[in-house]
Amino acid sequence: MRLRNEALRTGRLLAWFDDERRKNQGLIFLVSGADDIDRLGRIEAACEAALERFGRDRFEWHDVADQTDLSSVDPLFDPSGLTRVEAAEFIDLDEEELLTVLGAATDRMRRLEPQLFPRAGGAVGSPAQGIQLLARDTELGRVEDELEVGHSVQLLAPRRSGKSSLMLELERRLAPASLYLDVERPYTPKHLAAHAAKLALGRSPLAAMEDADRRGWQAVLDDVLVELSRRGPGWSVLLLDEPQALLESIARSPMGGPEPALDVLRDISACCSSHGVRMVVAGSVDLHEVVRRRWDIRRLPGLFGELVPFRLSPLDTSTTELRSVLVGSGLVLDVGDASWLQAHVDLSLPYPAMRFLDGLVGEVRRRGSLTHAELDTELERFLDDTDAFRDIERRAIARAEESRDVLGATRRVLNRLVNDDAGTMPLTELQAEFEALGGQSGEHLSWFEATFPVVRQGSAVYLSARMFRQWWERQAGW
Amino acid sequence: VEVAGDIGARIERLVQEHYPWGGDGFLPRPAGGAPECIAQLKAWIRHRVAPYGRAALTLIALVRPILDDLDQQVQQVSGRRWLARVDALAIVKEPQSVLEKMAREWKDEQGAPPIGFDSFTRDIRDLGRFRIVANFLSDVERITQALEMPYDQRTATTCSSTQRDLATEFALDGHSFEDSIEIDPAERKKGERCRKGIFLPRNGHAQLHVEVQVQTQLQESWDKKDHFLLYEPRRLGVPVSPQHEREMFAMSELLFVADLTFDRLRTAIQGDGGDGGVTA
Repeated sequence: MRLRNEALRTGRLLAWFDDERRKNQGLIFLVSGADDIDRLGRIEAACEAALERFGRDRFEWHDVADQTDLSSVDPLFDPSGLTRVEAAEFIDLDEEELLTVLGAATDRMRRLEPQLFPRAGGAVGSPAQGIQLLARDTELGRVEDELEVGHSVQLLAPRRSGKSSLMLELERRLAPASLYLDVERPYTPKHLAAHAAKLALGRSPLAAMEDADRRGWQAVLDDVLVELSRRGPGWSVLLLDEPQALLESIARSPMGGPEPALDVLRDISACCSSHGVRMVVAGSVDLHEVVRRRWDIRRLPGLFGELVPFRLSPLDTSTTELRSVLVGSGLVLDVGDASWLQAHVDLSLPYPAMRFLDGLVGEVRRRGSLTHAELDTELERFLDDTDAFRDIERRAIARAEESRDVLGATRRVLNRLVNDDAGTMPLTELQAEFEALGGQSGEHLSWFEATFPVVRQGSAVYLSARMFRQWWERQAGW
Repeated sequence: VEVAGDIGARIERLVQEHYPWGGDGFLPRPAGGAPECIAQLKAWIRHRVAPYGRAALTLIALVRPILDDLDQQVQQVSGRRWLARVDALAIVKEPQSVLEKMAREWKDEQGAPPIGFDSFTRDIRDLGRFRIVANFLSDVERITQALEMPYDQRTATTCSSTQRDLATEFALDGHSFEDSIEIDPAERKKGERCRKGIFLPRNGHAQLHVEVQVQTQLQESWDKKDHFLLYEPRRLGVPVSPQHEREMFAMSELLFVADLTFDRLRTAIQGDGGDGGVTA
């Protein structure tokens, strides 16, 4: 693995100009020798197929003898809008994969987006936005379809799998008639309403809190939703991230209990309903199960009782997304590197994968290139030192303090999944492990599925993240 | 314009009668008349010719570092001065030019065209091409020598790594460049002056020949004017005045003298320590 050689001078340029040729984007495929003849042919065919599919308006090809003298190609071309890649970077991708990687880039050129490929350092540690939000277009579309027909939606996925990023992208797409509220922090309903008023109405949080004291938090939230419904010509949407944290916060309060918690949900729902605002709630645990297990309540009130469940699949683990990230990060694969990556790195848990790749960029920059043995060493070092899985570990330790038996069952299940070649086990056997704990077995199972990157598929459950699997192995199963 | 129509009519006949419509690897005959046939055929030719452009581009990528090396050597000897540029603006022959060339070569319209649709990529040698435009006449020689050197057994061992890379990836047809600069007056048929080499990729694409011309700015300048003033009308079948032909030919000679004088001046001003001593 090595860094892209952006100093290569010669290449084939795909350029996009706006109507007045004042703004442009360019993607140059740099070449270094005769082996690039075929590579360029495949790249051009893929780009042409993408342009055929998405529209070729204002795209043009140029041969560039010297990329330091682009004015000789077109005096109006602004090189600051140029992305440089090597034709050699795409050698092992098949036609469909090439079309996926390059098609997305041409689409971004047309929209004059400054970045054509996602990069490893682009969203490490914060919610991924825009181009950094990987492979979620289909799911975003399906959620939007549900909202379009008037439904409210509950997004379910394990932690660190990109729910918040997806919620923020939904907010962006549906702006201005959308509002995202991160409820994971220990909120009271009053805090929630004041925070919403700050974001949607520009009020100072203190003034909003005083207002909530005077008129009640429901009235403040109502103001927010009135404003939200006024913004859009059609429907508007309130996005609540991890609302179970709000319920648990209420449950733990001195006056807490099921009724106050349900009252809060009922009031939020009533506010939304009265202004035609739809809801998207996201969590690692099903809200229905939270109230059923905690308080034995069978039905959530109002819109919360009608949430359409939408389970986020693990991020696309095919090569294309990973390859897009490598292209965006300037990493070029040598022979056999693609197989190494396929075996060791995946984006199911984007955070650790992006952290690892970001570290690789620095290492390759420092050393010039990395052999397979060096890649192995880098991965081992990362898995030993990383805090990328700390969140999972912390949750597991907290649960272990409550029950050593849960930790034991967790360890047995994970060891079994890790030791299985395909990383799978029958669902019934997973359930049996937790049922054997008796008592709150359902809750423990639910916790397990929300905490670890495991996915149900038919009658089996499988470990969706290769990096987690290796990390678990390096931890020697705790 | 009427005569220009002749070449158009000849292309039309060539396409209608000699393109193997429906044959293996060829287009099915489209619905509609000759304009539709020619439009589709041009797209087909463009597709067939595109790999020659890619070969030319990768050849430029290998030639550029050699020019950079020479540039550095020249600068070390005679200070900062411009050596050469690569002109890649017309890296492949346009389909219209391909058709016109085929039609022009088809002198006996009763017989089959000498350049057929199954063989034009082999028979037309400049489908992929580019120019290296140099400052002084001696620069043309210096660049040509640098590009020929790795193909000459006597000098191959003293080549730079960039020259070896070139020879590893591309063969040079005849191991040398043709010379249309230093031609005896009795043998000179046209005013075009350049060094011309045909390069062939070694990686299984030897059919993708690329023509490389090395010439001075003045020679290129003459070529661009001749192309516009005489060559274009001639290729369209418009009669060209013999007087104009003579004058254009003379201009080539005149500019050659200018090139020689500039080179002599450079040597005189820079003396023996000038960059004329630089070797590839």
